[in-house]
Amino acid sequence: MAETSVERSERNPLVSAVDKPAPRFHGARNWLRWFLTNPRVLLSGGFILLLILSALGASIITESDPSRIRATMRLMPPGEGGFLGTDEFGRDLFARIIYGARLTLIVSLCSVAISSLLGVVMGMSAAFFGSPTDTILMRLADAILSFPPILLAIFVISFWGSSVVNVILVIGLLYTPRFQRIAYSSTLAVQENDYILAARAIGSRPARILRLGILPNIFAPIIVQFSLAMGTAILLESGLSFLGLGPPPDVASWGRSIQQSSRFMSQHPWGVVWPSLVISTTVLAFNILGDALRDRLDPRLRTA
Amino acid sequence: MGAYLIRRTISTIVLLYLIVTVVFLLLHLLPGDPAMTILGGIDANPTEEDIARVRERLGLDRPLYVQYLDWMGSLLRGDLGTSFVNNRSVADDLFTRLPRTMMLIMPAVILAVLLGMPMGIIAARFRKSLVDPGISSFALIGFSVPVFVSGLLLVYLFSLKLGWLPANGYVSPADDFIGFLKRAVMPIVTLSLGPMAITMRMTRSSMLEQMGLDYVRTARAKGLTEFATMYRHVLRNALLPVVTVVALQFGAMFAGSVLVELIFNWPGVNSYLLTSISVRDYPVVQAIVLVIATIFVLINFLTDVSFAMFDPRIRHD
Repeated sequence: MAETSVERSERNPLVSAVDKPAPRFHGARNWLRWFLTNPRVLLSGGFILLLILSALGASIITESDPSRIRATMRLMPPGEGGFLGTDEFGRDLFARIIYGARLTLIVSLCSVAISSLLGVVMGMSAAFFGSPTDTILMRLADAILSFPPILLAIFVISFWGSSVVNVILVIGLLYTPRFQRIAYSSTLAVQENDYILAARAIGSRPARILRLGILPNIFAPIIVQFSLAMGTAILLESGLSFLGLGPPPDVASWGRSIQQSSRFMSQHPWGVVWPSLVISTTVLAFNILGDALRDRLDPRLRTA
Repeated sequence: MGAYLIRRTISTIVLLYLIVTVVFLLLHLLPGDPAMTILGGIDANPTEEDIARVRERLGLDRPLYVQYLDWMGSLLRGDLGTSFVNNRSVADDLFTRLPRTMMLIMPAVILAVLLGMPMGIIAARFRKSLVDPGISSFALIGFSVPVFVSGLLLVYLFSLKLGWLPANGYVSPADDFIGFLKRAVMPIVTLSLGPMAITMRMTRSSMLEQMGLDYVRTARAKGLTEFATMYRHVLRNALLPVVTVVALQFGAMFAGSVLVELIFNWPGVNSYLLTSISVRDYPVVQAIVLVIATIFVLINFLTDVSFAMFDPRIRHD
């Protein structure tokens, strides 16, 4: 350990100026132990992993095509026409859930990636460079936050047209202010530290200070927000799909499945039950994981 | 206080102006010609003359800044425009639709606070028993389940299986008050679940934060009963962040009511928005988005100002 830190400080003048090294993530082994010994982390993280794996290997897990219409197999109970039954077009519900996971995960991951990148860059710059960058960027965030999210999404999608890319872009833009605000307030606090002053004094450029001095220290709240934002992004995506403003009808999507099957709910509740269960569980898993990450990464933020 | 009020009023006006402008620009700078859409899109193959005629009727042939000034001018006069589809005044339709949405949102907020706050207090007080994890898990589920899932679950149970309540629809409370209540109960409960969970979590964590502070020890040390310590001291101080969250919930309610109105076939402002979107009635869409954003901004303004009145720390920030 000592050896590596000496090496690092020779290469990196900023780190050598740091009087107290930034709290780093502990070793991979500690993280693995945390994962395995915490029941709530194990359950929520395990479920998310399972979902990612089944989305990746959808064609291995199920041989049936999620969009194959079978007129003779309409509205079958679980076990007939597929593991979980069929919908009103005779399509295999299990296959639709597994392929729907692909869409949900791609949309939520891409949109949260966009919003975290944009938000962190904008929030850090606003705090670091001060006025007028500060005023412009933070007022912009206020303006976006003053619309109820789904309303703004509906508004924009109705002009852009509904497609996977548009849904990703809209959700990405809508959630940018959340990351921006967190990055902003954390940067304001972190940049008061002496080591940032030292880095400025030895002439480090702003980009370098932001990347090496500030970013590692504001990482914890951003990771937590990432997990929580995944949950809300999934809620928003499924809500838009439910309204018919998500991806085109031929793409398997949980929200749209629920909307279509809800008309047959009295005689065949399964078409609503399975996607409902899977959406709720997924969002719940991301929320639980976010809470657990918060407890682990930043005890000050803990909800006690 | 005066200075704070002036500063906050100015920033609210600037924000409203920004919203109006953004809504205008979204409508006019995004690809897609409303005139074309009204005539049925490219597939309908409208003639150049038809397009020109529609553009002229809608005033879309004028320069952008003229349209902008015209739109700002009519907004200031309280004119929200006329529908492309039936030429009715948007303001009139909103006037009948908005109260119906409010009839869902207001009771839902009240329900969320009436149940969420006591649950949060109980969870914080009985932290060491099984009560807290029980209530907390309920809250976690409450804001993880999408409104369309909880809504459909209620419909399945109380309408399709038990047959106690009508599955959807609306009657005016003036015509049939009992019928109105029967139809409003499920949408209101559905709408309140998420905000209830958030109120509960916020109350709980705010109480716990206060309970760790020195003044609580002092209160106990001078011999106050547990009841007095909790409700006269801790709760009072814990309420401020809770009320902020409740105010923010109004926005979340508008978001949730979009889906709730669809599920329960409730003819409020959101279903008006959805139908207008499907027929590309842009002036209506524009007006509704503007009105809802304005309500949202004004609620935030009122919350901030009332806090500054109660808590001097805020206005000196």
